[in-house]
Amino acid sequence: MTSVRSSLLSTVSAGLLAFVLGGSLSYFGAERLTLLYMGPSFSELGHKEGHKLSRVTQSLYGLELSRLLTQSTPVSLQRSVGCLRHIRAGSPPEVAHAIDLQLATDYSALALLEQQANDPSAAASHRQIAASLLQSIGWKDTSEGALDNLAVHYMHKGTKP
Amino acid sequence: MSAQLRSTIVVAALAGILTGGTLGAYMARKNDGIVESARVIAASSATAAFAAEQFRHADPQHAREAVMLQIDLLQQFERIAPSSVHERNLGFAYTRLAMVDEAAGQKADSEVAFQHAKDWFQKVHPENRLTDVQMESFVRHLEKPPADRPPLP
Repeated sequence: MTSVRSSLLSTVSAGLLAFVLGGSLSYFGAERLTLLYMGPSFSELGHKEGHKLSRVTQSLYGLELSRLLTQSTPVSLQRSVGCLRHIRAGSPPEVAHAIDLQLATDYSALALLEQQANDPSAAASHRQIAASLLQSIGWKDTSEGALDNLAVHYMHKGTKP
Repeated sequence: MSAQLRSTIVVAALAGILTGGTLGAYMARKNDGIVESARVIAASSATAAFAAEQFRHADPQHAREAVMLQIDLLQQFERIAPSSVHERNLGFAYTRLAMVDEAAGQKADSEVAFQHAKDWFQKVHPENRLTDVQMESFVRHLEKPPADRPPLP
C-alpha cells in the first residue's frame, strides 16, 4: 500500500514538474517569437516609417515618464537629467528640442534648490546650462527670472513646464 | 524509470508546452498593444505640452517647428487608427499653427492652417461650424491652468 502511494506521488510530482518546465520554456519562447513575427510597433505604416515612428514615440514616452516621476529634490532631478541625456543620445533629431526643454527645466529647478541651499556657484553653473539649452530652442527670455519662473511652475504647481 | 512514469512526464510536458505557448503568444499580443497605446498617449501629451510652451516663449521659427512635430505625429496616429481624440487634437494643433503664423505676419499661411483646423473640428462635431476667433479662444483657454480657466461662453 505504501509503495503504491509513493509511486503515485512520484508520478504526479514528476508530471507537475514536466508541465511547469515545459510550460515556462514554451511561454517565453512563444512570447519572443510572437513579438519577432509581429515586427516593430506601428508596422501599419510600413517598415521604415513604422520603425521611425516607433523610435520617436519611444523617446517621447521616456520624456513623459521622466516628467511624471521626477520629484522636486536634487537627487531626483539629477537622476532625471541623467535619464534625459541618455534618451536624447539615442533619440531621432526631431524630438531633441522637446527633450532639451525638459533638461532646461530640470536644470532650472536644480539651480533654484541650490540657491535655496546657499550654494550659489552650483546654482549659477546649472542656470548657465539651462539658459544655453533654452537659447538653442529659440527662447526669447533666458534671464534668471524666466528660469526661476519655469522652475517654480514645474516644482510647485505640478504643471508641465 | 517505469513506462508509466515516462509516459506521464511526456504527456504533462506536452500539455505544458501547449498551454505555455498559447498563453505566451496571447500575452505578447496583449502587452504589445498596451505598450503601443501608452506610447501614443505619452507622445501626444509630450508634443502638445512642448508646442504650447514654445508658442509662449520661443521665436516664431522654433514655435512653428514644435507645432509641426505635434501635427506630424498626430497625423501618423490618425492614419494608423482614426480616432476622434486625434482629430480634435489636430484641430487644436492647426489652430495653434495658425496663431504662430499670424504672430509671424504670415497671414496667408495662417488662413490655410485655420481652414485645416476647421476641417478637423468638423469631423468631430459636424453640426458646429467654428469661427477662427472661437478656435483661438479654445486654445488660449486650454493653456491656462485648470483653476484659472474662466467658463467658456
